[in-house]
Amino acid sequence: MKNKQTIMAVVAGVVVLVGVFAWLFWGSIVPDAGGKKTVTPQISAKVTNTTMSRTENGKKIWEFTVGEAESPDGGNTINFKDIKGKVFLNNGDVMDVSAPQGSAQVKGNDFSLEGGVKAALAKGGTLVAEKISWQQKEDVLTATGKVKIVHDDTMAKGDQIITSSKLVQFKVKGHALVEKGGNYDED
Amino acid sequence: MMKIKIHTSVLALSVALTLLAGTAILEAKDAPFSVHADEIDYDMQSGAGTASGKTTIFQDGRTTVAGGGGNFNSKDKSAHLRGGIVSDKDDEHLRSSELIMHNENYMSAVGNANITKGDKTLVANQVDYHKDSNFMETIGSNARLTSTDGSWLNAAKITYSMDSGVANATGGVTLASPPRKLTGSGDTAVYETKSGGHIDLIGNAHATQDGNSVSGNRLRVYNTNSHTEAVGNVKIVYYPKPQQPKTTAVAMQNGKGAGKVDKAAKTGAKTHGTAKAEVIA
Repeated sequence: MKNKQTIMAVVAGVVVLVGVFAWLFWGSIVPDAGGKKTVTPQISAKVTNTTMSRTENGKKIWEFTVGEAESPDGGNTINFKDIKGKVFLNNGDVMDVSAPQGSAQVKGNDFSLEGGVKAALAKGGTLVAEKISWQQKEDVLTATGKVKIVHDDTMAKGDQIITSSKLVQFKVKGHALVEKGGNYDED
Repeated sequence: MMKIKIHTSVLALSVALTLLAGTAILEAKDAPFSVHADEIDYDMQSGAGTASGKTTIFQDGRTTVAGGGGNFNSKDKSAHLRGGIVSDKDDEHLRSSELIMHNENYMSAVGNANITKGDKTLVANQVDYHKDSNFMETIGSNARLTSTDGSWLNAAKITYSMDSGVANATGGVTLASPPRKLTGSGDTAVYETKSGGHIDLIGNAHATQDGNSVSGNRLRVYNTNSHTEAVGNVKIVYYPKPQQPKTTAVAMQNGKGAGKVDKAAKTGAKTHGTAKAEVIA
């Protein structure tokens, strides 16, 4: 009996790991683990120093190089650490992002980064925050915690900023500040 | 030569306008334009924004607070703020119901506009300030310039050019300076705040100090040497000092030519043939 449980656990782990790697290589299409969903032990699959990307309709949406990726819940969520990556925007711009940690849902292109996030657009504009989350489909980027956006001679700060990935229009909530005409460091 | 003590409160009033000239509604072109609020919606491309809740705008050392938020544009530095406006810069203090910053060179304090600079205050329903031409004007039917010494000037409209130092008050001008026991009135008034300064009361001009009065089509009251010139249909009523026997003097000036009111006026004699009277205090 005990051997059977061990074998089941190992099999489940292998299946999850295969699923994660399949997701890494094939995007958001995650192979069915086999239909039998009664695996009780939650197996954590972890990969290190890898590059992950998501594509949709042949277009790369984002690509992250992570120090560590782990799926703690059997493949629904992927947690990252030491993230550096790029988000490819519809307007052709590219946003470089970095964060100590983050997560992404396997079924979907949304992600969130936290622990001190920095994002910079290739065409100009930076955002720093304690946490950001991105709803890819709606292109809603929500940044919370000491948020600061800088673009040329304009700077915005607040407890929360809701914007799009273009960082052009936004709503600042809590201790909101918008300032134009100064010299602001975009780093 | 008749001497009448008509001290001028005009000095205080004209200085008020001079000080208001510095009303630092002025905004420096290169100074950052900063908006603080509870919540801000902002478009970085257009520079347009909407601020909600208590809103504060900083620019060029000026702090403007609005209780009810407002709209702004950081590119042209315009704004329309609402609700209990309080704006301060240096010793200038502005209060109004709304503040419209049309651009960095032109702004309007609207609704119970009250601008204090130093010890002088200009009050009107609306005060417009044009920085590019250094020009201020009140809008509405009531304008009032006051000083902390109690002096005041009322008119329907008061304008002031800071470049020329000339202020114009039009429409039922009245003025008073309680410390100098002076009152005056006219259809219009022109203040020359530079070069020693004086005030011209024009049209139904009248000035009274300590019981002595002078009327005419035009009165010029000097700030520095305390004398008054009256031109056209001049009437002077003079009450000697208490230690002297009380005598009323009336001088009526009509006709062509020019001359000065002399002691004949003290006797109540009417003089003719002069159109100008000079009254030395």
